[in-house]
Amino acid sequence: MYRLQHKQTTGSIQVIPVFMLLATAVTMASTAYVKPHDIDLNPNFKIQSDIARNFQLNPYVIKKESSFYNSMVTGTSSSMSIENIMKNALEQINILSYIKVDDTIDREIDAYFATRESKKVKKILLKG
Amino acid sequence: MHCSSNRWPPVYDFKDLQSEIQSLIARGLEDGFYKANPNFQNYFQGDIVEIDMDFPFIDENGDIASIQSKKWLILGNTCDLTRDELVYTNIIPLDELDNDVPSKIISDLKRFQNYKKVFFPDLTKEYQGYIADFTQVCSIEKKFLFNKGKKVSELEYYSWVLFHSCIVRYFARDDGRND
Repeated sequence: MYRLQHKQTTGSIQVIPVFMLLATAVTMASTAYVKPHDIDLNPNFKIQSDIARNFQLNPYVIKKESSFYNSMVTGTSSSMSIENIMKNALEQINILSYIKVDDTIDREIDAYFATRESKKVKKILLKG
Repeated sequence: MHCSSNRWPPVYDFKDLQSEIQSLIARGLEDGFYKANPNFQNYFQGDIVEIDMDFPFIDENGDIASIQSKKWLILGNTCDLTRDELVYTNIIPLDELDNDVPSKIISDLKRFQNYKKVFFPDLTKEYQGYIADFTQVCSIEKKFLFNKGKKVSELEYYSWVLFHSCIVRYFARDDGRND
């Protein structure tokens, strides 16, 4: 199931990330780490980027009023920067959140088409 | 037809896009979904092509079977369509939504409420629309596609972004393994 949540929690924004979206955003060979002493970040914040293979983003909390958040959503950093990766990921998440699927309706549509009379299927005879 | 290297610019203004996609869906996915003047000289992701041919798949017995389709959606990315050294691209057969499809199903499809089936309007009004099913993807040699296919529609930018979002939404779903 696709999970996407935006919660307002005491002035911060919590996003449950989609790991593969972020993996596709990282196509360059670079390693970027968030400095642990960055005071804008919740201590649980982690982001690792390693040549698009081990890219992962654990659930994180970023203060909306922080400079880091501002640079993520409004910055125009180079494509090699982690800020741009985050910006792209947040954009994709937000776009997808608009067309959030009601899972019940999704299943209803699947059920309808499963019972719908199928088109004529024919076998393909292989030459051999 | 010759392929070009024209590509859409990357998404850069979320609010404008969100507003336009909302508007696109609100006005019924007819007006503005396709380009009024498609570029018939080049192929892009999201193009609809007419070729009367079979969609091949592997059936429950492991045999190769097929279903005929007249219209196809180009799923492969535009960049690869322009590269001569790449032989294949991906296409999806479009399934016609006949008049016997219930209106609620049509309405739900038009609100993109199914992960795997993407709605495309039929401007001819012969059908209630088409759906492209992401579980039905096949490969095709580009040479055959370009030589034998007839491009009939090209997505407008906003509907391409919407289509793109559906691609990511389906193929990049969180499966909960790391909960």
